[in-house]
Amino acid sequence: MTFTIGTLVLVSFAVSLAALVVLIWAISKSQMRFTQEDARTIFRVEQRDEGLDDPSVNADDATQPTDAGGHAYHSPESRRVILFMLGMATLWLIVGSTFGLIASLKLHLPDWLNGSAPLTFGRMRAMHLNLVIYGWSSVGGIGLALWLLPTIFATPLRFPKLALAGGIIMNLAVACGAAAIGMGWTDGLEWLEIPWQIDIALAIGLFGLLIPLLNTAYHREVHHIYVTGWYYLGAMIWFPILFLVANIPGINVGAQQATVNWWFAHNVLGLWLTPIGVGAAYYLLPRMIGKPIYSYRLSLLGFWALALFYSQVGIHHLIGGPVPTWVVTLSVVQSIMMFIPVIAVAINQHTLWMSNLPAFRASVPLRFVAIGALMYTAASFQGSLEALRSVNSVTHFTHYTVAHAHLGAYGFVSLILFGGFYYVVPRLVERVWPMTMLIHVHFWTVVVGFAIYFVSLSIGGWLQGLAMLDPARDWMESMELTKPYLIGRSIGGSLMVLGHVAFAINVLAMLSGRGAARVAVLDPTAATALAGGRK
Amino acid sequence: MNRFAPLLLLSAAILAFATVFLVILPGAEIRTADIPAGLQPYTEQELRGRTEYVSLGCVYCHSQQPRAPEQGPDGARGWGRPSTASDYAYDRPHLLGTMRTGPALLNIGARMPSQAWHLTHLYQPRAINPTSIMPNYPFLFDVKAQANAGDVTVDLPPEEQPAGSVVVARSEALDLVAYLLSLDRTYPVAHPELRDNGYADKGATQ
Amino acid sequence: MTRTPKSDFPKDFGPAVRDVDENFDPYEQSNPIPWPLLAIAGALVIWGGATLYFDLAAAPQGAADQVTRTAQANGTATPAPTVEELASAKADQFTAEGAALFGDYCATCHQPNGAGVRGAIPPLDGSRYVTATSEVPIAILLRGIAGPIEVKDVVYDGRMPTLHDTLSNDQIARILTYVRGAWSNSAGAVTSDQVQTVRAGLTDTLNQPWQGGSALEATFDIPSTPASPTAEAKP
Repeated sequence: MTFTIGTLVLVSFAVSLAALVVLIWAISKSQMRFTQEDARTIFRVEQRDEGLDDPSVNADDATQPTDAGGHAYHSPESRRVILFMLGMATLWLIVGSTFGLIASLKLHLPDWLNGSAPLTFGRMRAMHLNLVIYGWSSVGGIGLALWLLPTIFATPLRFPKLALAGGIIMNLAVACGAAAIGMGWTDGLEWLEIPWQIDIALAIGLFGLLIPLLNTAYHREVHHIYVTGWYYLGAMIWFPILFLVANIPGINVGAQQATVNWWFAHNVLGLWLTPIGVGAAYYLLPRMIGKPIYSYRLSLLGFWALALFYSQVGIHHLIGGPVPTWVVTLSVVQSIMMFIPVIAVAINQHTLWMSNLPAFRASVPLRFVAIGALMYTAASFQGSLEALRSVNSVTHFTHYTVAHAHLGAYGFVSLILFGGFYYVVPRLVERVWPMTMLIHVHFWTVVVGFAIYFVSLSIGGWLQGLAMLDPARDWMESMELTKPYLIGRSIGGSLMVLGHVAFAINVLAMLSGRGAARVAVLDPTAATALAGGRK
Repeated sequence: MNRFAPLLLLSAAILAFATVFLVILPGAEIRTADIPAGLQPYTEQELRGRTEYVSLGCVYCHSQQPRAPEQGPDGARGWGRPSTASDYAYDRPHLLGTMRTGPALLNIGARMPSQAWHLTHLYQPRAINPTSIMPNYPFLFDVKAQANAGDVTVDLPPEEQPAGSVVVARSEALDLVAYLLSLDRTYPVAHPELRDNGYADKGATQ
Repeated sequence: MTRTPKSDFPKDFGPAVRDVDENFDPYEQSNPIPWPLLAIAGALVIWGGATLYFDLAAAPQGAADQVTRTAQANGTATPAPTVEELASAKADQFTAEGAALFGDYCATCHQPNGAGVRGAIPPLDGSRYVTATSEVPIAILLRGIAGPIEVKDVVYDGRMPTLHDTLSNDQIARILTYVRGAWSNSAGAVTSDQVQTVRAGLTDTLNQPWQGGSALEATFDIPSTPASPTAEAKP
């Protein structure tokens, strides 16, 4: 048995490597039929000049993407569904991060707010996770996709009414899911807490959104699929499969269910949130800076190696646990292989923004996206190292992992989403953000807040892990020593929530019609578009 | 990278390939193993308690997967021998957990077999460990002027005892404790190959 | 806007010339993947292969170790091996069972080494209540304690559970025999009969924890120790 399985693992590793070699060969030998010129697709489709592009404060940049004939790619209907998704995402961000802060406070104020079951830590934490993943990141990410895909494919969104219906259903399902968890109705698996009955609604909503997006991509008016499109198309095929398979009730049990659980949970990060973030950065960085990415063909390596390796890393969450050695080791090795796509993406993205630092300083949305991209590199490197058995023995079961999860889901995905919101919304409503000051407040509170959060929890978690491994120290010490760091986390988290409030105020003001429009436009279209679309 | 369908198909195929190795093959190996003789199915009360454990989110702070002595001193802390996949044959949903903000609980029934201790600890963990950061669960208990026949009262230190009344465990608390006391995987190991033995070369056996 | 049907012809905007000549490639280096990245990839592949090999080679040994350990524990893998190892070294079955019971019922608070928890749980190692006449520790186990108690110059104000329902006379005797002889303690063994005698004498008060050390001193006439300089718990 051992021999057979050992052979199988080697097969899996060998197949991944063979695919990697073929890919590198194809890229090197120009077998792929595209060139650096394709990286300029995003500039050509919009008839928009290269050069710094910051519609968040510059009213002249706050214009709809249009084709050569001056027709906007986004119809009023499609604008309505995008704004709906982005607005709802902001709401989930506020609610979800508030729950997160409450859960954080509870870890050092254990007697606070315990009068009834929905307020207990275990439920607050689960509601926080589900709201920020399925509410904020997924709804916001799909909202961005609804803007990005029609724009890079130079064609209007297909079935916008279906998309709006899907968006409404998805948001209702998220709300019901969080409420169910609060009431104690849960499937009980991390990342899969929402009861499967509600997941059906969530999946229906998801399909309502993905079918228009895929259909739009199919009918694209551009021959070349820009790199952002690869990531979003991949994500749109991966996530429904993952979500449906992992939520089938009644077939999984015990340790076997744990493999399904972590196959799903890590792939939600790797094959859903990561493509959303990286794909958006591949559009937003060159678009905002006004220069194409460094090496377009290298981005191919980043995409396909991500698909190959990231899909197999999930079981590193069960290192030292009750699942067969071979599957754990396979995930450990593939986690380390993730260095390859991450370095490829890093070369492409960081070279671009780091060689354009004046733009970085000038544009807050660009800063969000660039720092988010940097955090992708950091989170991925850290994640690969955490999968090493020696490191994992210390960090597993500690707050260090929590800090790492936030580096990925917040430092990377959320910061890029912030930058994306700041870029996209003004171009949709053709007005700049009403309160520039709040954008700066948002930037500095979340950056400083998250730095405090991450550093404090990482140090605390590492010390906790060392104490837990030391047989000479009582276990209680490993918990007691984390208290100051948990307080640090709450301080950082409070700043982050404060930043989110600043962000939400701006979004609310924008959606209610405030903010300066481009002087030359001077028509009421924008305001009407907000109120529900052009008649 | 200019074609729509091949991109989608290849992406889906890569995920399917990963699923075979991460889910289907280990699943086949685990699900075909027989259930250890020492492992009993949960009783109805224990299952109700387990539902309570799940719904209150205990899993977010308590793991149920003791590690091997080569990796960590879990055994010396009284958390039990390293568990194998077959120790979880009746666990639905699984509660392996990812955090040890609190101690591992797979053998808490063997380590702390007193119902009274658990009730006191659930009502107010700080009555037992002053530095504990576990939440208290007052909503699992009733405060009454006096206990009725059949009520299980909770032993409390004077400073936690509500003046002039007694604290009585509700059925949720009793179910939850019944589940905790059922957590006892101290029977001899079965299917030792169904766990991560990747640390075996790291040190001598103990 | 106009919608042209999809065709095989490129419909890119602007002056793209790519598809005019597949090999015309002015922007591209001949090798778009930097060699350091290839070197890193190569190193990772070697490392990955080696890790797979060594981990899988070690796995059967790990499985065998688990069986060995269970066998050493005599078929009953007790979750407190440190305590048990200590006791089994004494080759005293009665004490060994007491040690196992101690691991189950007492070590969580009083710790396997009997040192207690600083500021919260009094030590058993060197405690005058443990090594006094056997009636004292028996009475403590039966009724529990709720009140301040001074042990080795430190006042503890915690709560010890009432155990007369949980533990049998025999179990109490075994635990105390172990505790009174463990670590630096050297008080005599305790028998089941002694426990029964104390239990019978306390019938009416079994459910009332002792109100601290003073109640015990008064009842059992324990020689009072020099008063500690302060009533505060010392670190």
